[in-house]
Amino acid sequence: MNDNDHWIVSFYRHSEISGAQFFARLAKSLPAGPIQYDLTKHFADESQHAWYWTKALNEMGRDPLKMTFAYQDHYIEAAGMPTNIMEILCLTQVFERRIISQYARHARVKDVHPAVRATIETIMEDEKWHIHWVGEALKQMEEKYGADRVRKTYEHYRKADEEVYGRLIAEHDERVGHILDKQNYAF
Amino acid sequence: MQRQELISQLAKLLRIDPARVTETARLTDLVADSFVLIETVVELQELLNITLVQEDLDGVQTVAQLLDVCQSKLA
Repeated sequence: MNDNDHWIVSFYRHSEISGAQFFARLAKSLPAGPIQYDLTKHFADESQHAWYWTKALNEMGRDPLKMTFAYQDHYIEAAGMPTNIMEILCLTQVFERRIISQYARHARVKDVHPAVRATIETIMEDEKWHIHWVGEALKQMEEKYGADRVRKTYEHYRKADEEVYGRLIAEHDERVGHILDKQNYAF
Repeated sequence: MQRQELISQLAKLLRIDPARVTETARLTDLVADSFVLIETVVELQELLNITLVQEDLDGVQTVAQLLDVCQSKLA
């Protein structure tokens, strides 16, 4: 495992921990119901993912690097603070789609470490369910907030995500550029 | 709900000394990170049975501004 992959995997781990911490707080404060139920499972998954990355790093003979920021931290700066559960779930849906896309690309890189590929494959199964439950919850919220507002909110965060991801790639190109270059893909 | 009661409830949600929750206090100075603020705003809506959207909080920086928005929804 080279230093770039060490950084990336540490970054994945840190972002999963941040996600878990955020969902843990929400799981405590939301009223009982289907959203609280699914969100608690989501929180448990994110915690588990952080463990998978920690374990993968250990298998590769590395310790997690201490990171100063998580991907999610930049959303609020770019898109403003979500104020209700609908806005939080729109942001979550955008984030989950970004994660799936990033992990799928990383798993395709030719010389990716087997521990990294195996971890991504395991996590991806959970990520698909995250997209599903959040999508269903957002459909149900159309009744309260209106389909148009839900659609516009999602679009608002999607644009913010493009901005945040673009900035991150530009800033850390030397570390993550090889994952985005299709010439490096094995399939 | 009276203003002072709102401040008291906000302090409880933020889990901080009510003396710190003054009208002029900046919300970002009262929380460890922005995630705590999101959680607090969600809980405040549950408590007051109101719905806020992002535009409602545009430009809101202080306790007084947040309480003004909440009270306008309660009215």
